[in-house]
Amino acid sequence: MKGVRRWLRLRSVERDVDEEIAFYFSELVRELEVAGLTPSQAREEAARQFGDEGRYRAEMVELDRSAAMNRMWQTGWEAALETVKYAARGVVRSPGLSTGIVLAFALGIGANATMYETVERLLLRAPAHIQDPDDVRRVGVHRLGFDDTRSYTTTLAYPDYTDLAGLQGVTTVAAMTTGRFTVGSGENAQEVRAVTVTASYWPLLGVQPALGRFFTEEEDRLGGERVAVLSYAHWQREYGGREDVLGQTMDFGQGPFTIIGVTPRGFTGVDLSPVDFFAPFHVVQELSAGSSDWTSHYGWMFVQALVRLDPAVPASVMEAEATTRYRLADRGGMLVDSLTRVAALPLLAARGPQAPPEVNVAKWLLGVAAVVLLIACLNVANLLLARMVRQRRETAVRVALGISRRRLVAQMLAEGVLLGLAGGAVALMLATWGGSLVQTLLLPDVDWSGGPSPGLLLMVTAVAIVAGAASALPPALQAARRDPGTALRSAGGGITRSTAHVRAALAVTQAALSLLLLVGAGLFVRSLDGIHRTDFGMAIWEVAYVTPSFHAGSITEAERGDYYREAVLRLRRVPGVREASMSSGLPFRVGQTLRLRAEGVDSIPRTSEGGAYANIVGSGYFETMGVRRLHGRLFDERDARPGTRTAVLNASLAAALWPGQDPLGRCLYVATADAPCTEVVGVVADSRRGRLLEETSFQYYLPLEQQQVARSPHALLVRADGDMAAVMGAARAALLSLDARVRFVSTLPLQEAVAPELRQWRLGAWLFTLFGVLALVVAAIGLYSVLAFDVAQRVREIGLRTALGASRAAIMRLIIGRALGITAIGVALGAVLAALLGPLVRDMLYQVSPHDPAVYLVVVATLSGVSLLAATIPAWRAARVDPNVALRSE
Amino acid sequence: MAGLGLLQGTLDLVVMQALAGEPRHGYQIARWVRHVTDGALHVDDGALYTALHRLEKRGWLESEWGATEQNRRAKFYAMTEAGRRELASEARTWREYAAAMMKVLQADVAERGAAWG
Repeated sequence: MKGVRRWLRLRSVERDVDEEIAFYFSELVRELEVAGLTPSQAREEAARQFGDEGRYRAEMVELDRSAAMNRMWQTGWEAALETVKYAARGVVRSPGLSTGIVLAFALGIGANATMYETVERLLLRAPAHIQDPDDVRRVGVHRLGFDDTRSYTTTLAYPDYTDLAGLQGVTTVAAMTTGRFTVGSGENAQEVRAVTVTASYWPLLGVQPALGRFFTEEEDRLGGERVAVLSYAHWQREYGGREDVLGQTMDFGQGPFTIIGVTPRGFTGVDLSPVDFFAPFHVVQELSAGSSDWTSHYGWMFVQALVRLDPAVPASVMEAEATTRYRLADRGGMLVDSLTRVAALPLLAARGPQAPPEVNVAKWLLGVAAVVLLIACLNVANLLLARMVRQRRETAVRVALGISRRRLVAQMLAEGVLLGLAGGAVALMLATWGGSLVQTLLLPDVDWSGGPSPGLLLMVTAVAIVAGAASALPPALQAARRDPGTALRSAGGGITRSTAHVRAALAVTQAALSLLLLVGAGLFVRSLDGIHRTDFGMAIWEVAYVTPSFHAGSITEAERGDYYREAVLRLRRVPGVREASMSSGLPFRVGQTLRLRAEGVDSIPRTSEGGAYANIVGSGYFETMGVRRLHGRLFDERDARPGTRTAVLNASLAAALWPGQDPLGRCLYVATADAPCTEVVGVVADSRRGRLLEETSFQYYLPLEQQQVARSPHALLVRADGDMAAVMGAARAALLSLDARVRFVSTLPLQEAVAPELRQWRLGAWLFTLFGVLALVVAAIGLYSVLAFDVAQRVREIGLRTALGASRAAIMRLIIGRALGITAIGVALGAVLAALLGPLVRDMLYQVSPHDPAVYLVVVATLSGVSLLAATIPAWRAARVDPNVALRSE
Repeated sequence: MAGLGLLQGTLDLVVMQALAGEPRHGYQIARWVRHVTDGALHVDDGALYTALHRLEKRGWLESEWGATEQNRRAKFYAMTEAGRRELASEARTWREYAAAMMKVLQADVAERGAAWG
């Protein structure tokens, strides 16, 4: 459109010039003819006097054209400047209103910026410092699991990794493992996260060291060099970023490793979790395994493999070849069938076939943030409409004086955009704060040290402009529609009906959307609450594992038993410790299965969780873990008699082995083919083993002291009363002072062990509630402003009613009735919307129906209460209208 | 007599001087220039027109289509305020320059005798 018009204008430039020249010639020719020349002589003479017509014409056209362009720019710029000036004046003239609007925008945009940042990190941004990250893939295997369902695993055996080298389309291969180690000793010991990588890892990712160098193939081999590369964050935190760190050594339990380099800032490898250091794969694996058997076994699965693909070759080529090799390998009866296949998975787990559940929640929350922004926009539109009505006479005067409607609309839109940008600036601050809240509280396993995403500023600016313009659009259109004559003539009470309707509709929509968000919040809160109320068969929230680590070579296997017995006794004396015990086999951490037969049973059934799992436990185990006795007895001093072999089963295993019969007194045969009878003496309630939300798992318990199988404990167990952190501190101190052979003591409350599983609900409950409350507040302000404005507009009418005998109560009923009317429609709409959307979140809820009546009830009650509250002040003000004053005005 | 060539930049001054009074169209300006200089200045009328457009682009002239005395459509040019200021300043510069040149040329004769005689 614009281009065409400009082109037309430039065409007219040429026409002008031609006409001007034609005029010159006709005048001159006529004059020359008058002077006596023949027409042809005259034309010749005229052409001579004018000179090179073609050249001059072209010059004139060119000059006029550029002059026209200049004028166009100038008028456009002046108009824009004037528009902005006027808009700015509008913003400054009503500071209260502007502050409110900026705040509403800040909350709405801030919520979006926070979620954008989170989602962007989880879903969109490739891990930092990786060259062409799309070509780097994780190698995954899609195969059958214990529970007969198929899923991806990225854990391979070492020979699987070596098989990948040389496949068509693969340029580089690297192997890695991630693990936790402890550096330092005593109270100074700290757990660090380490990644062991092959030397090929560095060139594969294309990363360059910030300091020093990375290790080479010469160093990363069996019997290679003990060298380590620190992460930037660890280097800064533990070494103050000093360059003389190179050449120093660090010990994470496998002897001194020489520090040779530092990774660039924000580099976390291919995962998003923070890393403390990188060490050579072959060296560390050989040290921790004590041998190199793992290099040839297809059954030992502990390796993650990365490949860099040749972009010219499709990934399917490599996948097909790798699948063939994978199926051919001898895995000692592991579950490999004709459907098992190898896949090149994307680096970001969230983009792969098995996205972690919190990613799903984060995506939803991005939608929720958008709804909050929508509510904020509705609110702003409402406030601007109110002001527009108040200023209708001034607007009418301006229209009467000749301001074009287009200009008027442009000025109002510009004002909206200015307010939006101001809100966006505040939103950036809110997002920094909100972002770190989300990050540390809800996604602690992700490294956020890379700083805010580069797209954030752009995103906030774009959203601010769009939101500002969109909010200003309804009032601008209303203003443009108004006939100046009517507006100028109308008296104070004459608010146009359409404006009132629009404002009520906006308030209704706000109420509906708030209800939607609050229902979402309610569902997630109920889910989280449901989890905390669920009987897991054990005292998850009170139990912690306490693991002592010894100085290398300071304790023999035989001495360990004595040490643990003494440690349990010492822990029981620590204030706040209700009970302590020890165990080999730890729920959520270490599972072990033994060869097992049962009297009169052909084969032991398995559940989807695997098993049956053996827990070899010390005295007081059940009391410590909070596992309840159902039948028979728990372990006691009777089990300590030499030669006694006893066991306790969980209810599911007992029922599966001997359905409908009494298991007490029956025999189990444990560990070896010729094992003597182990007598079942008791049955305990089912408790969780591998995951918080698992199906039933089969478990049985053997007394540690009987040593039916030779085992030493994996950890000490403590059940704490009161503050877990304080009790853990005391427990660590007690164990460190008890025995000098202990290098450090690590503690793990079970609630931390299961925290990742709870994350999706926690994330949902927190942020839905936060955003829901935000929406509620904004909507309440919106409702309040509608009512307060109504009252101000209807002062005369109210005065008249009072004068005619309406009581104060009747007047208040009038206003509150309107508030409840708006709320009721909003609630009804919102409830329908929530009911329709609810089933979409069903998978993310825990034992709560998406149509949970309790949630709806509480939310509706809350909304009604808040709207009543919002209506009180306007209603009170209306009731106090003095008819004398009201009727006299105008 | 062969016309004098025009010093560069002086054409603008000539055109503006032509418009110092009332608005004129291009043909009038051309005729005026020929008239006041008795044809001594040799300049294409096309160049004159180009100068008009150039001065308009600079904002020293403005143009408008109007009717001549014979009621024919023609493009009239008029000085803007900025144009008048420019003309005044340019004219002063020229006058001073010309005066200085005159002094030089007159002094030449007198002083040659005094100093070198």
